[in-house]
Amino acid sequence: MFPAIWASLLASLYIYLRPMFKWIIRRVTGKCELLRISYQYPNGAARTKYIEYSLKHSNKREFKRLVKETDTNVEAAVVLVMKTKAILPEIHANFEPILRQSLIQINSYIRLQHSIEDLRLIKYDCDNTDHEEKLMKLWNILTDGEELTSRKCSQWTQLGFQGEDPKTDFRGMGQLGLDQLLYFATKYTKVARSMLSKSHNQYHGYSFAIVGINMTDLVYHLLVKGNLRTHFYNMKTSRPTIEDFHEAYCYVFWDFDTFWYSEKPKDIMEFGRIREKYRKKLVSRLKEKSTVLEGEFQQESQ
Amino acid sequence: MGLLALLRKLKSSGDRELRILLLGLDNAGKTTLLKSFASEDISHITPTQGFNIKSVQSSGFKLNVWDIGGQRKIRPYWKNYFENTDVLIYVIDSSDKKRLEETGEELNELLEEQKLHGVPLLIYANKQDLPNRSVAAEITDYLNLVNVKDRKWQIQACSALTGEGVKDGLEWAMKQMSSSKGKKK
Repeated sequence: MFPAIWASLLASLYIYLRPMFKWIIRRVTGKCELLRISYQYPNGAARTKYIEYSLKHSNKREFKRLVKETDTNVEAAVVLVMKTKAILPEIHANFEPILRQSLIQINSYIRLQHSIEDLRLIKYDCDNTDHEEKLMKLWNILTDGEELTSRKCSQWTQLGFQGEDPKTDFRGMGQLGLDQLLYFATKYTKVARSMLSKSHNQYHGYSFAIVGINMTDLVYHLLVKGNLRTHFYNMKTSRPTIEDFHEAYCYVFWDFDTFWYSEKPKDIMEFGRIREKYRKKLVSRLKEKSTVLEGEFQQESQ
Repeated sequence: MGLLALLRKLKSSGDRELRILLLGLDNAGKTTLLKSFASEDISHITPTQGFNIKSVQSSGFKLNVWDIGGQRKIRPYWKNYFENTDVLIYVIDSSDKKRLEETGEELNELLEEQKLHGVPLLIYANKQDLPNRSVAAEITDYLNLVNVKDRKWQIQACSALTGEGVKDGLEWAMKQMSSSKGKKK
């Protein structure tokens, strides 16, 4: 309890005294914070995160805005920062490309959050032919074309849906849940089918589809809370796409599956406990600066 | 009564812990109700694999609410959670008329369980916000609730989505507990 109080006390003290520290260091080194970061940090998530932190805690409102809004014009932002901070490209040649790359990464993460939220908010709808086609495609890929006797039937439970109609299982994850299951099954069919078949074990197995939707919930919250910045800032110097987010999902689902069996669960009622343990493990991995969420099975397919 | 026992009784009446069991078919709305009890966000629900548990403070009670997944595969595990239940809450999707029979069968089985004998029963006729729902009276008839004579029961129309009726049901549940707890101990 006390270490926690101390830590939060020191943190607020630091925020309070930060401008003074910055001013002193700037006098001593002759460089502003952003410039120092560009010299001290190698390419990677740690550098982009520190630049993001520096801009976010700047006392200039225009700087704060750069790491918050979706429609930031990166080129204009680069000019603004260099001009405000009086950084000459002739002297600090590396600064400009580093700042540009970081701003692109920061801005595209914010945009990704918005596009993923849009997908999540689309409820699964039986009257939407796109949704229905995707659902049938999921069935065909995972069962290798087994015949489905009717649209609503108990066969869906073979895929790990709860009942006769999968539509009620997507719930708060909406179309995002369906898209991710389908992406995984389509791109990594062999891995997905093998996980599905193992999940049928009467004692140690789980319900593949609804655990898959639960994994969407897991990566979605990691995205929203900013934990996935480590992964994306390390992985991509350009803008991450929705597919890149689905790739992170594929990794997490596959990695959770491995974790589940390694925990030797007595039965499915242990799901909540093991899921929370896995989440904590993943969050702490994403605190390490070099983490990229990618499995061997994903590299092989590229 | 010894002094120690008296003290213990005084202490325990200050913050009474009660165990509530939430059951019902999949997609009935159990987890949404659980989150609604705790005034949490309900827009990110996913199907319950296994179970969820939450402790909620409510008018001097500490309610430990157990929300067990409702899919057919999980129902055999329900019995592991019966012990020491103070109130059973059974949730019904009032808009799913095709599965009223199935939900009635599951409820009847629960009512025959020895470990749930005499445990007060609250039925939430959930999803009353949907246009094609059955009203509470229809469900009462369909489930033949008037024949339930071995325990106190109540049916409460509600919408976990809008929150309507949720509090009324919970208040009834707590009333049963405050009257039955005194007798038990």
